[in-house]
Amino acid sequence: MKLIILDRDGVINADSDAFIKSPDEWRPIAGSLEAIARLNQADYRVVVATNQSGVARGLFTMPTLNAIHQKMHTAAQLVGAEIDAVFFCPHAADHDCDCRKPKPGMFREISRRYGVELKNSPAVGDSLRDLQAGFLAGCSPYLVRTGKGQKTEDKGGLPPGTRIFSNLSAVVDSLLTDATPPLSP
Amino acid sequence: MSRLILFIRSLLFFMIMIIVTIPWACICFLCLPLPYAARYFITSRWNVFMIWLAKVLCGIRYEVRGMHNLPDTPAILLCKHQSAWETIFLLCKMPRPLIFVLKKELLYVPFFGWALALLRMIPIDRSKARDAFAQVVVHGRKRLADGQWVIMFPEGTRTAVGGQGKYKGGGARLAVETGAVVVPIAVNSGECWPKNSFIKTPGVITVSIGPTIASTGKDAARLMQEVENWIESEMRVISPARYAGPFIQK
Repeated sequence: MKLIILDRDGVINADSDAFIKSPDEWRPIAGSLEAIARLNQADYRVVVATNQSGVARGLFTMPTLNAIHQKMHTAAQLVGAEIDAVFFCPHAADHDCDCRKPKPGMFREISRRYGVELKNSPAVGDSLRDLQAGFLAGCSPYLVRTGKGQKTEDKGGLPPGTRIFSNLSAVVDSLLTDATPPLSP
Repeated sequence: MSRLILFIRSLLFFMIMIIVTIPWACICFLCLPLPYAARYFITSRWNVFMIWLAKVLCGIRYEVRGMHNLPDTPAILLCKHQSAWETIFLLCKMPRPLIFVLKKELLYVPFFGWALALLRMIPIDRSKARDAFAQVVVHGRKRLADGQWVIMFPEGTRTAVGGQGKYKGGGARLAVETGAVVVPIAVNSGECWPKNSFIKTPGVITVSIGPTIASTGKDAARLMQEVENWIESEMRVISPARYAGPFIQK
């Protein structure tokens, strides 16, 4: 089984420093849902792993988060894309949980539930903690420049072997053409 | 298993290491025009290969505990040092590019040292300890700001299994000066690949990564003591047969 793990904010939908707190604030990045559809057509199972500390901070409730994800699934299905599952960490940074990225707990859980080794599965994110969590779980890290991605690239210190692309669509182009993707600078 | 077979396996490992290192170093030279991250990745493939080779030829496997303790902030890794194995292992398994503080003599080893010299390490002159620390702070600060992690071995050199070197304060002082957190790491690699032993013994090496220790507002000597306490206590957990006596915390 081919599995790909995506971050949500800044990869699939536009990010906001003020959190995505309602379905209205969830707006897909142009081409990202179509890119997921192309992954599905190439037999990839697409899984989302996202930190949602807004739950712990009381910025939004679980029903709201579910409504946001319902909007995401519906929007995806409209372009023929299927997001297999959404794993999220509801804790705040000071809860010391095992699931909040950069800890690899969420990725381990995905590996366990799907019964697959994550070795070399792509993990796509726009922040260092997404890439670090993916790297520790054995995934190949991909940085996109959407969301906070450009800032992350400028700051440096990316996991060894991180590949950098302008957006999710470009990542998918590279995955599906087998072309050797560029290494990070 | 008889000593002879272990000797032959270790000899094979040694020979393949030499055969592989020469062309690998040449590739590293040729890659010099590439961006640093790409060069680091290419160079570290040697480490991946050597860890694999040690596993298949010498039966040296490993287990990592506490990977979730790694922070997403600038950090200084302070690691127990029993063997060359952990230097090879950590360089390719950590989620950030690492900056090793190493003795400058290592850079004179043919091919291996030359390739190592192309990476942004911090070579120090052991005979001039005071100047050396100034170098570590200058370079360390810059590299930490770049998002890389600095790794040091506080005991200064590889220690014998069951033993403990004198913990030196350089790493803790760097942490206090830069405000970076410290990640203590315990490892019992000497049980399989001891210092000054040609023969490598099969077994499982445990690498245990401890909870981060904050450096802000601390006295360097106390911070170093905290690190020593954690590492030496943890050695009694991962290597109980060789660290049988209780560790007296100071």
